[in-house]
Amino acid sequence: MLGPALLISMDGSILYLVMPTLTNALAPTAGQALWILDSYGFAVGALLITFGNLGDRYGRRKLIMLGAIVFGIGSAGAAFSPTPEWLIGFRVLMGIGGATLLPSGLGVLSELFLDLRQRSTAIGIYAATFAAGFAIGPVIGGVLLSFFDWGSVFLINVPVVVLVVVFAPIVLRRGARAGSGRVDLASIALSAAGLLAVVYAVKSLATEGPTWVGGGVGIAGAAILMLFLRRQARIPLPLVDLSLFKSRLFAIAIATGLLTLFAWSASAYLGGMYLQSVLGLPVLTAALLALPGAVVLTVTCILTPRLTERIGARAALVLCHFTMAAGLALLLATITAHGIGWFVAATVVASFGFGISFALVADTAVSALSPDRAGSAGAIA
Amino acid sequence: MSNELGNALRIALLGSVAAVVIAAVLCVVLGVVAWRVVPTGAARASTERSEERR
Repeated sequence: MLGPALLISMDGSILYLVMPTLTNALAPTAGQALWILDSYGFAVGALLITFGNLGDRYGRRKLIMLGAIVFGIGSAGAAFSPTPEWLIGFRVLMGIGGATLLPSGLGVLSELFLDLRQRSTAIGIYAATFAAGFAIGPVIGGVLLSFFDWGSVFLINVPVVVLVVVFAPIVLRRGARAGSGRVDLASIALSAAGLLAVVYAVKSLATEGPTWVGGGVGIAGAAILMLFLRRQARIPLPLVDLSLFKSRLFAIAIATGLLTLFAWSASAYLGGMYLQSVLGLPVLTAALLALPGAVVLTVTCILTPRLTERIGARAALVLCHFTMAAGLALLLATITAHGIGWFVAATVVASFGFGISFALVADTAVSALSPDRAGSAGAIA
Repeated sequence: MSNELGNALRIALLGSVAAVVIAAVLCVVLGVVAWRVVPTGAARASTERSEERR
């Protein structure tokens, strides 16, 4: 399950360096270029909870196979897209496949590893793979472009997809099992529409600054999500079990996850701006300078279960918050006074905190529910 | 670099600095909240034991 996790996160960032070449080849408008970059993330973000639940109810093995096939078709189609419109469509298809694979992959781990310690380690490695994929995406994209056509950045997904389709029925035969109960279609529609609108508003804020359209869509999305939450409190088999948030550890862990994503995005954006626009470094050099942080993030994700076992979940949570804060403060100091060495040190310190957070949040969420609902827990995380 | 582009860059840079400052402050706040609110492993085990007895 690590191969798909790596590809899904890598595809979120692989286009950063490829866009200039792709723009020359397909000549998209400015709006289409943004959709080529963002449509994938929109689809993944909006459909995670839906597919996490579908996997729990109808069997993860089936959904993993289906998701891999959809992801593979989307990747092959994207590689040979003749126009920007086709590429956007295939990126959406890739996003649907990614949203299908991710939570079910995390859910399968809780079935394959019944021992708590082994399961925590497996989840740590899964989180590490996901984080590493996003960090190395631009570098892989840049390297592929120097040897092959732009389509190669999508075609590299196909062999991994073939491996998943061939081996998933063998490896997951004993593990995957179907849960019970019907899925509430209204909840699916509300969660997908609400998340899509909120993700669009956040992306619009990040790329265009505050706009009336972005603000309106964001408010509408928040209202739809409120309706979704109200419905979850009333129906017998909710997509998101709100009673989980009564556990303080679970509530703080999910808040930590949200904050970590915000801090990670903000620091990556600021770091990229500083290196490229202020220092004038090429994009590939900027991507390479992010690698030490990515290595620390990956290693920390893997070691977090041992750390948590030794110092406890509470101390690990506090350590992750304070190292993230220290790394961000160092980054701010770097921007005003120091150079590249300090920048790398800042990303390394912050990445230590990000790594603890990713592994701990995923483990806390999956451990909070029984294995037959681990996919939906993974989707929340 | 044109003035317009320079201004846009400055605004984007200031915006991302503000986002990082907010994130850093929230990290400290949530760290303190986690320390005060989340029970330690020993306290959690004790609560679980007393629930089992009940």
